[in-house]
Amino acid sequence: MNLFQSRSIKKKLTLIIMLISGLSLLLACLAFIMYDLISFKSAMKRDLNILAEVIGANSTAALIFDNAADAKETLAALKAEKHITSACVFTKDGNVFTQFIRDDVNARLLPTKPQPDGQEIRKGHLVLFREIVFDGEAIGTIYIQSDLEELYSRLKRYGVIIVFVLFIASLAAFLMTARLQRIISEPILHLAKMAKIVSAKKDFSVRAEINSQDELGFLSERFNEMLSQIQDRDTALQKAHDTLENQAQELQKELTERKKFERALRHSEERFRDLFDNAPDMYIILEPTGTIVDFNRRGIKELGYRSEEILGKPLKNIMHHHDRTKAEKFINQIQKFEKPPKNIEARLIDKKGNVIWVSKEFSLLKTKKGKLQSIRVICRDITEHRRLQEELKRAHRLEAAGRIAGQIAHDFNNLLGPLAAYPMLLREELPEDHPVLGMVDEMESAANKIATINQQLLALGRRGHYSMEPIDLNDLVQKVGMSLSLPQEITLLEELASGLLLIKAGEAQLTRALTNLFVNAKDAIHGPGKITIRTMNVYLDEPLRGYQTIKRGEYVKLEISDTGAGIRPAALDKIFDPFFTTKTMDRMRGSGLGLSVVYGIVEDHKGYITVKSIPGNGTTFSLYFPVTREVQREVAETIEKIEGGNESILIVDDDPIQRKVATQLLRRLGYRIHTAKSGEEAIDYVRKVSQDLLILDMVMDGIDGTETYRRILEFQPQQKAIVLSGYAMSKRVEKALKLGVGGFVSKPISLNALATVVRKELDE
Amino acid sequence: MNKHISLFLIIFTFNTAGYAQNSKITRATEYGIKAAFVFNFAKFVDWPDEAFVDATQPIVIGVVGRDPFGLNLVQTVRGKTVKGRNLVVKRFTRIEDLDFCNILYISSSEKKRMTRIFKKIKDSSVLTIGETKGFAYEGGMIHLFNMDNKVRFEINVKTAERAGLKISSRLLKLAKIVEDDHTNEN
Repeated sequence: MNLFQSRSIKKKLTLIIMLISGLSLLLACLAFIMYDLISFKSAMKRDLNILAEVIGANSTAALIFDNAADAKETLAALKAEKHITSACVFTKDGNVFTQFIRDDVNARLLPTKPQPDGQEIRKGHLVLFREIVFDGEAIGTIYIQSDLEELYSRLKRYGVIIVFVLFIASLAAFLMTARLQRIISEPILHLAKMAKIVSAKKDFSVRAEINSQDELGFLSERFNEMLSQIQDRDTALQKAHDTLENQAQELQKELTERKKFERALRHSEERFRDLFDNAPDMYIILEPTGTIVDFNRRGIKELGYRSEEILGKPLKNIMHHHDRTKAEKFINQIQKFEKPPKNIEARLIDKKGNVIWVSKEFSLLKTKKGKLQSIRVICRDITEHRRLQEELKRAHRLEAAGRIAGQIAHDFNNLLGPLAAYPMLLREELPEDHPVLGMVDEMESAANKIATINQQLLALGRRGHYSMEPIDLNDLVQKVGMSLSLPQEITLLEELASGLLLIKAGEAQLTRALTNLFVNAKDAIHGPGKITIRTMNVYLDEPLRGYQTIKRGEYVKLEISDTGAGIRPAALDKIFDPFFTTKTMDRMRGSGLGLSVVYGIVEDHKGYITVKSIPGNGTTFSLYFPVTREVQREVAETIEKIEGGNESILIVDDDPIQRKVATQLLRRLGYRIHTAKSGEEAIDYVRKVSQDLLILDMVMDGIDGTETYRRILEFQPQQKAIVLSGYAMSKRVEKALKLGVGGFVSKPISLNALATVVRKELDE
Repeated sequence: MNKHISLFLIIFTFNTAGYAQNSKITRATEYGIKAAFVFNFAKFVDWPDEAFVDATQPIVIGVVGRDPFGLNLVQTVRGKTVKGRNLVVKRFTRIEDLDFCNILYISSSEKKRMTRIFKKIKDSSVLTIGETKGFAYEGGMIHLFNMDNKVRFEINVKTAERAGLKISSRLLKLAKIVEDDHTNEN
């Protein structure tokens, strides 16, 4: 159909006419042939009927008298009829009486039973059944089959005729149409050409020719009219179009500008949103009632909430319960006075329940009329800041206390010299049954106690100045444990890990720390109880309680638990502060220094200490010391016996009491003792009389011990020396040891310590 | 007598001649067929107009001598018409009894008395049927005989024509035609 539609009108007309004429001719031919075929067929049927009747009549007697041979003869007459292919006579009861079959026909095609009267085309054959009636009585049936050869040959003939007729007719129609179609097609084509010119050249001035008075002529006339109307309108339209175009251009320009503006606006908005979201502080916008309207992304992230958990909820929801009333009060004030309050510090609660300290800065947003629109709150996280402040305060506190303690202790120490030393000398001078001896003993014991406290104070004051050796903490624990005197009702339980790693530690310091902890544990227990001490290897990779950060790695853990009274939570924060004590009972009043010293020592060892306590249940201290891989040095057996000698020793000390104490102690051991009041004097003396050993006080007016030794070494390189110091270990002592000083004795001087160190140095 | 009657014949007999519920089936069947033949001959024979008084007068079939048909003949013709006429069967045991009839079956028992019978009916148009050998040669018209398990017949056309009977060519086509008619002179 499309193919047809795209044809030209000329072709269309030709085609239509040809189609119609061809089709009508074809139909006429077909009708004629149909009619002929139908009449031929009915003639055939009629002939066959007559034939059947004749045969039937001729077969009646044979049928009645059962003479099949005669009937066969009758049927044989059909041989002359070329189109009869087979025939058959059935008896009244339906059996085959006789039959005729042309030679080339298959016998099986014959029916075996008679059928009611009738004719039909069956398998390309015309077949007929007809009852044979004689004297009003049916006596049998005849069947005749005729082929349709004649019909077919007739059809073929007709086919040829139709083709021929159609061809001739079409040719004639074509020739006629070619001329006649012009009557219609030409005016239309002319009109089409005009229309094409109009549309192609936009020339509305052309006009179609009018050649006829029929509908086509009318159409051309209207076309021309239309053209002139269009021409008028076109002019008007062009004018309007020009105006419109100008307006459109202006509009376009405006639109572009507006878009640019919008883009800039959006960009700026994004920038501000970004600024808002990524500001270093939390930024909250509240309704005047205190409901959260907006919350910058950073704030949401920092607190860990999802935005729907915050937005639309009152601010106090995320505040610490202690600060809620304060927050409400602030909101009320803002509503009342419409003035921003001063900055405050308050606590927020994050999603996990952690407390976050923030400083809040309020500002108000008002409408043009001055009505309160919203409240801006900038929250700066000051948690870390506060923590650092706290730590700093505490460090200051410790340092100040330590410094004061150190100064006092140093003076104390010098004064303590004779107090500690003379009881021993007194006891030597007095007969054994002298009544004063009891007092001397008490004096000595008091002096020893003072010395111990003094040592604690000194330890606070001279933090971190002692030599560290790899040691086995288990050995130390056992040593300390053995030296303890525990009441009967307190059990000591040691759970020491086998294969405990070594730590690098100052043995004396650690012993002191342990002792302090033991004493504390013991004092915490009133009545029967248990102290458990445990050691183990641990690996730390997350911060301990009370420490912001820790150095991850291998540690040896020491744990001391008691089943004592425990510590109140309020006190727990302060137990490491100097002079803080809970032991207020007169009898065993504490100095408040014990745990401060432990804390200091642990810190000096780069270790950590934590405490856990349940009031009424007991306290557990856990100490962590970093593991060292250095090998433990073989510790020489300490000489228990006090050995003396007759070597010459020069004691250099600016303090006459100290000089006197040391002289008396050493003279008793047989040494030849000389003294010097200062470093300078000592140098002069050694120049004149060489000495086997120098005993140097570290701190003196003029040049100190180290300097004295250094100068003497210049002319006496083999000079042996030991140092005395009020500080257990200090930079100055270290320096001296580096120069070659063989030993070091801490003040107050004990005979044992002094004798051992002197002998050891001389024997080297 | 043929004792082997084909199935075809049995069916034919039953339908044409009706029932033959006799103990002697073969004989009864054979005579069933013959009764039908006798009846059917009436259809192919035209009697002269004078043979009947009016159009409704029945065709009378007479049997003379010992009747071999039993009930067969009566049953065959019962309720039937030929050319619009009913059929009636009459039995004549003796020649003396012989009366008006259109068809006469002369039993084989009358072999010796055939000439007398023929003489008696000489002037009337009676179709004679018999089974005696040479029946058609000796003054009879239709001779029934058995051949190839079938009942066949021969017809003496001249004898029939003399009696004024016209036999249909269709019947003649099936029959053996007997030309000889010298016995007629007796």
